[in-house]
Amino acid sequence: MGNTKHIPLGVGFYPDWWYKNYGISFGREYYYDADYRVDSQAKMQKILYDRFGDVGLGNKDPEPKPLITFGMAMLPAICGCEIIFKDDALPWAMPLNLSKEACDKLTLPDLITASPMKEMLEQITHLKSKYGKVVGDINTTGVQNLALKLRGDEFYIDMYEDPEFCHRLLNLCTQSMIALWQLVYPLTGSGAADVTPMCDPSIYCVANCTVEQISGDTYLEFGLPYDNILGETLQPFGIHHCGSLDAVAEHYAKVKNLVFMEAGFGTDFARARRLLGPHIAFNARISPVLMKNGSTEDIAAAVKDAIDQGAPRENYSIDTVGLTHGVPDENVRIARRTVEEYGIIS
Amino acid sequence: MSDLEAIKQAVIKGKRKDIAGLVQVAIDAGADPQEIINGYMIEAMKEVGARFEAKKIFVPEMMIAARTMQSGVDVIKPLIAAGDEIKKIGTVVMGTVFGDLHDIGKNLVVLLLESSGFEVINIGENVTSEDFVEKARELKADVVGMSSLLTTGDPHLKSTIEAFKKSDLNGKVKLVCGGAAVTKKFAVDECGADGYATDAVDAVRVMKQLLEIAA
Repeated sequence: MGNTKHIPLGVGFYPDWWYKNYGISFGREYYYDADYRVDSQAKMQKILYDRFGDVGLGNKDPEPKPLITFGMAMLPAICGCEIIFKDDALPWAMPLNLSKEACDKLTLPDLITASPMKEMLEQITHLKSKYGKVVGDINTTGVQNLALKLRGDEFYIDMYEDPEFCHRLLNLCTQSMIALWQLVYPLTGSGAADVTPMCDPSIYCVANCTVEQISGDTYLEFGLPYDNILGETLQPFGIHHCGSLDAVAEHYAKVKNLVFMEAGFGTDFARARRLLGPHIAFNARISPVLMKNGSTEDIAAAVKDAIDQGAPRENYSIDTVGLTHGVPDENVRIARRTVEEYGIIS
Repeated sequence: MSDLEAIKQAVIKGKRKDIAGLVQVAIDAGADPQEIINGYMIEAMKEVGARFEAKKIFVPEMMIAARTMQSGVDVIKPLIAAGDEIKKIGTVVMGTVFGDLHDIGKNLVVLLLESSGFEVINIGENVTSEDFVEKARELKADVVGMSSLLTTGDPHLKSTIEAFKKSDLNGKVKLVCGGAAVTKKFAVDECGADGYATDAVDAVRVMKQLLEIAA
């Protein structure tokens, strides 16, 4: 990639790309067998180097990466959600659809003894004894994400009809997330790696995947208070936001100790950066649908547009995560080359 | 504001606790039950859909509006004479394609379709092409809606449409695709779907067009 400094552009392939192209499974074994995972990670780095080394991806001789991860499913699993594992997909927690009464009976989980955290702690011990270190972390998921997994879509009705119940559940979710982070962070020193590779891993980054579904006013009432608790307790703080940030950007600007923001495609990146301020590291995502179906000209245009919108270029990054089987290799190359040529930081 | 207009506003604003009383007052005053549904509640949901499309409201607001309408319909149902049931404008089988467990987008389409007068059978997520065809046949669907949030669903969307084309339902059931991962070019031009919808509101519009139902 040369020595000239340019905006970084990350590339992330979805499990089906790995499984269908190379047979690397992301099924249950990937999460429950640490040695299989470390071996797979090394294979993936070598594959990336062989296939995309010309644009700086992968590693010719990868060192073992003693990684822990459980997707976004740890707290839902501890709370009793069924977790669906597939060779070619990320683990998915099925909503419990609990009644309000059942939700109100929930208490903070005992993380040390609860499965699958218990198994994850055993993996950490194993990896540390074998490699002397462990990397990665456990994604706590987001406050609203977790509430929806417990209560189901009915939670959105509760926002109208029983806001006090919502606050009780959101508070429990927040406290559970804090407890998980406080258990894992001292062991790994990382709090963002399992959410997004574009964030400084040493900070805590929360996955606000479902916030795109609510209005700015609703976030103000049911989201911001809890993100502020997280930001105050687990600072410095980062947020991953799926999809467009536009409805909530001005409220995210009020989150305490926020140092990183990741915005999905469809966001007005220029407006979001203006509202948040240049001191907040900002990652802009390119649509995986465009990456799969667009031409190289489309991809180059999208990357250039993201670069132009993101000014100032310092503290700014772009990524193309979620690339699925069938994404043309040339689309990956053109994305990387476009930032090299067009995204130079003067 | 007339009582009937108050019903419309209650649906738009999601006043579920108020709707039953408002509907009862209107009925006691001699309002036609079918007119309450068709002239006011469905019209209210059209307004809700337009606001959702314009990003003036979001998922919770649409859900509570649909739920409010349902509560109003529950009051009216027993008053409609046998043989004069609430008229359904078509039957839709709706599911998320195999390999995809996302449900919120598909569920919103279901809510809006129901609120627009369709009979909707939600067959869930991770639905195989065989199940789509079987359910469509069993339930005598007019339309099958396929949702896909991830581009991993592309091959499953394609194989489901192919399964319909090879079945006895070819040409008898309209196939409509939508979801964040789906493009019109892929669904209609490459796979041969009958329609493509950009969102839940568009899904209602497209399905009505395909069934030649006035908007």
